[in-house]
Amino acid sequence: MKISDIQSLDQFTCVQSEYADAEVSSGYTSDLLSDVMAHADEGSVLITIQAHKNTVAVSSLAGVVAIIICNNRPIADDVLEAAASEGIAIFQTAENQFQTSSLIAQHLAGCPAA
Amino acid sequence: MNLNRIADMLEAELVHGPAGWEQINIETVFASDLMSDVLMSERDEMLLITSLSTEQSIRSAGIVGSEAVIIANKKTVTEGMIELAKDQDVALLCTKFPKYESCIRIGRLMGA
Amino acid sequence: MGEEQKTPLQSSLRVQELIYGLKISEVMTKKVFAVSRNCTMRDVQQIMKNNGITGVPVVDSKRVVGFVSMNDLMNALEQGDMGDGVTSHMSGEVQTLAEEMPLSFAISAFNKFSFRSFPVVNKKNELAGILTFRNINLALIRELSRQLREMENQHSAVPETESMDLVKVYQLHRYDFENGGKASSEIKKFLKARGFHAKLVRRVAVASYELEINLVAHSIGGMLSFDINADRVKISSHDRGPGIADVEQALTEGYSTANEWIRSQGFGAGMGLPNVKRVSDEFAIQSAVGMGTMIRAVINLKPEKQNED
Repeated sequence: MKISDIQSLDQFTCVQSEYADAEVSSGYTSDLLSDVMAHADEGSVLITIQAHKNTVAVSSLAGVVAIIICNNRPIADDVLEAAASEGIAIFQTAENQFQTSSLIAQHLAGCPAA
Repeated sequence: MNLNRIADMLEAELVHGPAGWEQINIETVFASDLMSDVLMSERDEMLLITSLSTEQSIRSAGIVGSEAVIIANKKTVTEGMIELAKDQDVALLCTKFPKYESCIRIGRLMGA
Repeated sequence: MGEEQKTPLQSSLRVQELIYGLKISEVMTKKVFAVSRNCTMRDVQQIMKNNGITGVPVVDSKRVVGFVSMNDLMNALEQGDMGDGVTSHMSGEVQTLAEEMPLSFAISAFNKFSFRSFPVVNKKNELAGILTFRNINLALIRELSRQLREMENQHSAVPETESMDLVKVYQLHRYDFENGGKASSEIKKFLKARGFHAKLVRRVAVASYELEINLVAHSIGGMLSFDINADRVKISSHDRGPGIADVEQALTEGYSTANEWIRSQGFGAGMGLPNVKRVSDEFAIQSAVGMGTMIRAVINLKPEKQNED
């Protein structure tokens, strides 16, 4: 699955699209930036509600390629700007972290279930 | 979905279980590390999955009526958390899996 | 339940409750001696002498434009400038207090600035009174003796165990996340035991919990008080500072001033105060930078008064 594949899914709205399309390796669900820093894989998509500038900074350090903000949490402009300059895609979704994790996992496994 | 099936799926360790915890029926799951997010929920969230291993996770779960909390990422559970789980009558479990993996595993169980 | 320890603690809480509960307008001296811009320092000296006061505000069409303190007067006296107009000796930058602020804000102001008295202004920014430490002391003594009399009168009454009424005050300290939430747990149990609907109990618990965390994470310390009767739960949060610069912003979802450490504790995503507002039937907030923040949330317990959810 590539980043652009997330963009094509109904549940997700791309709010920051300045990114180089890359393969998504895995998912990581967390709102604790120290955890993201320590455990998120290179090339992973971060599933979180932590719509903060530091989330972008940590994602960039950890090699996260896309961030999905759940529960339709508002995203401030400075967050989007930071992500654009780091080339990290940002998506917004009404789904919660539990549902989003399952959804992403299904698509990563190549079997988009209902 | 009984809690013990979820516990098996996550290879979880039981830290505190009120009598009959195995049979607690879980229909809704909420995964978050930000407690205001949990408190903002309008549903009765029966199971909380979090990697925030503090007393606040147990308190927040208690407030929204969760019957069980699973601490992800193999984090250490403190004595205070166990006391609070007893006080709030909440089952407390611990898994080595990260939150993402835990969600997927439970999602598979529930979806199947 | 530790009853023997309660007395000294409760009485110090009572004083705190008072300084949060009283408004400046209830404590200040309303009869103010003020001078206009064209008065002289000698006029001020006469006013101070005749009325035994140590500071006189200078007003221009009811607005405070300056303040002449005892020090300013001494300086003029030393320099032999007593015939000068007040404008050449007054302090032009006057720190005023608003009359609807809680007394706690005034105490913070006394601690922060070295002034002995503060002019108090009303909503139209007109001079409404003056506040000195003496006012505060007298008000506290008056209120405490009144409460003491009330307590003596109530002493004979047998408390009802199933009573719906509860007044309780909790102290919260900066960054003490371990104790943030204790008050909510107790109040939740209290309401649950009285058979209230789970949804209602949850709303009260959410409001009080967010306020507790707000005090722990963002204030230098404060208190959370509950006033419960059969009709409603009134939760008041008071802190000693630092105060919120932009209240509207603080009520915007996602806005937060939290640092990384607070975030690592699972808070500070800018949902706290909006969340309190969401679950409350009435919500009011008042804040002044350097003085503190006061939040009041009311949740109605009677079904006909509840908001639809």
